[in-house]
Amino acid sequence: MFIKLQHLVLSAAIAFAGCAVAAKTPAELNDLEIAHVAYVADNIDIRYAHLALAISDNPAIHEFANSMIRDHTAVNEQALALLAKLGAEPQDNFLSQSLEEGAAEIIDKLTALRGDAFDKAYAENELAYHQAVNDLVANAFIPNIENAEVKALFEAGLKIFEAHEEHAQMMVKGLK
Amino acid sequence: MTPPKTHVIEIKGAEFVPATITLSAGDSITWINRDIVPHTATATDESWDTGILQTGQQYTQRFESVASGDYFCRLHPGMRARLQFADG
Repeated sequence: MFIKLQHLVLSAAIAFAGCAVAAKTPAELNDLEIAHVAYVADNIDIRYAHLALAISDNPAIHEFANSMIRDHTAVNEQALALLAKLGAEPQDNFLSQSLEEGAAEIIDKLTALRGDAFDKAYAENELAYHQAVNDLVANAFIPNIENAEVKALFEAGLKIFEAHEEHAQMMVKGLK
Repeated sequence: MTPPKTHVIEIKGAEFVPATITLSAGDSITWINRDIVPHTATATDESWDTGILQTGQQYTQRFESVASGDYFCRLHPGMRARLQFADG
């Protein structure tokens, strides 16, 4: 039903591969661009969660959504604190923009749903989103991050996001 | 009779470390959250609960008697661990 994040990433990489200025894949992003992607990805999931709290009446959905807000906010605060300590600013890039575009489309579709249809769509999107982002973090970001402190934060974050993926899997199964 | 002990379980990387611990009635456990997000340690039968532990916070629970030892994090239900009672 929803656009898969992998497709967005691939489409964006292909589109930008044709440009003369910025031919980049996720694995070619620098540390500050990766930090920007992570910040955007965290905020997108927080937005999904607020939507879920507003629309759903399901306690399991609320429990998951509250965890997403709490955890992604905590991770973003620590990321910003680390960047401030390093005297660096996150850098916008093609992948951040692609994620934002995809999220806007998903939010539009979720907003139109109610009841069980919303709960199922939200849960399935959360599972797909965490699977895609975790794959990106594990295979494209962590191997290429140069700063040791930034890498350590991403490694710690990945453990949490893997727990989210497991939680999302439980939520999807519980709704069937 | 051995005196009561206090065991330490760290929460890090979305795991309880160690995941299994053996204790005797009267022992205590201190959970320390060394992770980057909040967690709880909560008995599966809800007989005890650390409450939400923010990063760096800790909580000590004394176990007067043997009981079911499975517990989990209420905020991340996939995080599970177990207490084993040596004299239970």
